[in-house]
Amino acid sequence: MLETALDVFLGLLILGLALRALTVTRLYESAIFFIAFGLSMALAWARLAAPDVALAEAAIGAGLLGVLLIDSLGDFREEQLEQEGGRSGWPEAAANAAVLLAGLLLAGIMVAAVHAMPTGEGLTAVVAANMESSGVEHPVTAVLLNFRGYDTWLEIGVLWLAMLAIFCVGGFAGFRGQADAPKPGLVIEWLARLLTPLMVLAGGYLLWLGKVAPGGAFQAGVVWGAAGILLHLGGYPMAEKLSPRLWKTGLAAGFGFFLLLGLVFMGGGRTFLEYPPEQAGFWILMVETVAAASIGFTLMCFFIYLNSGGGRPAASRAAT
Amino acid sequence: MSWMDWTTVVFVAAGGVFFSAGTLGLLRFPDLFCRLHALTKADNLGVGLIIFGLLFQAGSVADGAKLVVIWGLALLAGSSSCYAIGRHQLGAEADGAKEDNA
Repeated sequence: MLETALDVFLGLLILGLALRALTVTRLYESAIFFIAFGLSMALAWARLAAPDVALAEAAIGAGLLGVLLIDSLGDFREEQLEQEGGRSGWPEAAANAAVLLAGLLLAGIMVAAVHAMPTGEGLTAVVAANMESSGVEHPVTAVLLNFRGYDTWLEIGVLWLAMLAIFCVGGFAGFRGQADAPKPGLVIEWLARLLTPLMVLAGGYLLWLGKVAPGGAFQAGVVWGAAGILLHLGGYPMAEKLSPRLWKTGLAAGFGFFLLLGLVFMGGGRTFLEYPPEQAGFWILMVETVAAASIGFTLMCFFIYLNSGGGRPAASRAAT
Repeated sequence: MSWMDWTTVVFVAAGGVFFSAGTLGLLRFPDLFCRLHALTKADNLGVGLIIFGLLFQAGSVADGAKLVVIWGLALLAGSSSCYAIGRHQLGAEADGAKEDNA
């Protein structure tokens, strides 16, 4: 009874936060509500007994995305921070009708989706039967890195593509730390020095843990990326300290190593991304390590690039 | 319920009081520095009391040690971010004063 009440409250909280994030007029408040929404979503995933998703949602959805949103707001001038209403140019009645129609359609699809869900155990039994050959002991890792490795490979590809899109706007040459960046102060410098080794350790722990328990490449990559961001903010310009060659290699490594390994095993007469069962554990750890480092590089790059103004259009840069 | 469970209830509830007070302060206090004061109180004492209460539920010494480490990290991150925000605000006010004089 108490648990049901908690779940209902959590569900209503998520809907309320989502609504507020979309409807408040100040963009800053909108970003804060979005972060709260992400954290509540992580709680909901934890309640649904999916700690892997909860970890990823809290780290990426609430943490990193929140940092990116708030940092982007710093690039706007005060008067631009009010959301402009009625920009669409549609008559109000037509816009309301369209929103209502879309809402009804979405609600209908969701009801249909819930009804279409398999009533049995789904693929749980199939995964459990094949765990022996997966090379790991945690079923989620077995699915993500072995049985459905293709999906994970493409996910890393999406991250990489997003980074390339950002470079397309500002150019790789624009990727440099701010020369005139204000000094962060002794406290933050020392915090960065103190926490960086701990975060490297925590990321490595999450990576290693993925074999037997919730954890793995994405969670580890976010922690490593966050460590890089903290160093950048703590007065250690990561964009300049690491060579462009290392950055480019780091950004492409996750997608590239996955692809290379898949092709090598294909050459050995297997299907794409199919590991030999007796070596699967080793190769999964290798892929996860490279992928985590690459994800860390990518997330760090997102933040540093946007923070140093590389992604801003030239006009707004000249204006500030 | 054993005395350990009751200790947990008392300390977690006390932590909850500090979080509520901190939230109230964040919403009602007049300026940034007062709000920071309210927030860091919730961070330090709220988290501290809750973690102390939870220590009585830890299954092993290792679990308990992890809880204490979480508290230490929360203290470190909370007070450092408080410093960073306060410092930024002081800088902004100094800039504003310079513009007023000019």
